[in-house]
Amino acid sequence: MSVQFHPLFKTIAERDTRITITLKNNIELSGKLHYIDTNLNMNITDVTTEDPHLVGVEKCFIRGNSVKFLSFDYQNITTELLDDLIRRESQKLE
Amino acid sequence: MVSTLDQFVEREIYVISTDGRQYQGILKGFDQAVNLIVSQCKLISWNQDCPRDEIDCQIMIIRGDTVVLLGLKDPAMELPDIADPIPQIIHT
Repeated sequence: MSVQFHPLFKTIAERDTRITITLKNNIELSGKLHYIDTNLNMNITDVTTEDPHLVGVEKCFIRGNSVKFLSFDYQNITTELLDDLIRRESQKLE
Repeated sequence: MVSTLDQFVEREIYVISTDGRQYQGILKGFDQAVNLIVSQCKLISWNQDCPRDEIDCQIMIIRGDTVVLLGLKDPAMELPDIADPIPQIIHT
């Protein structure tokens, strides 16, 4: 499924949008999405976090399989590409 | 691609693993599955009511599926002495 979502995430990365990531161990951090791939592996810059274990972090790499969810500002995204891909995908199924 | 990890090679990094421990050291190498080779490795863990625990190891190879987060750290910033343990992740 993340293959279909990849273009959406890529536009977010291109615009340097700030996103908030919650990991499966409930660590929450936010930063600028610099790079993302189809496995949801991510490179984050300008990291800010409340977590005491992550003091002094600037840049980080997050392995995709430990991501619980991402959240970002709805204003900053366009879902046209995603809609298009999903439509094409459903046509294939028919 | 995972090759974005290039920027962390030969630099001081820290890794949080699925079992809630933290590894600190110098990244020597990595591969597609995010298996890591870390030299001058220090294993750090926090437990309830005791100060942070550090074990010195020489070189460690960390299997990719246990990696949660890999970060570049400002060496001037000190880790907290007392903190809650990092929760474990169990992948199903």
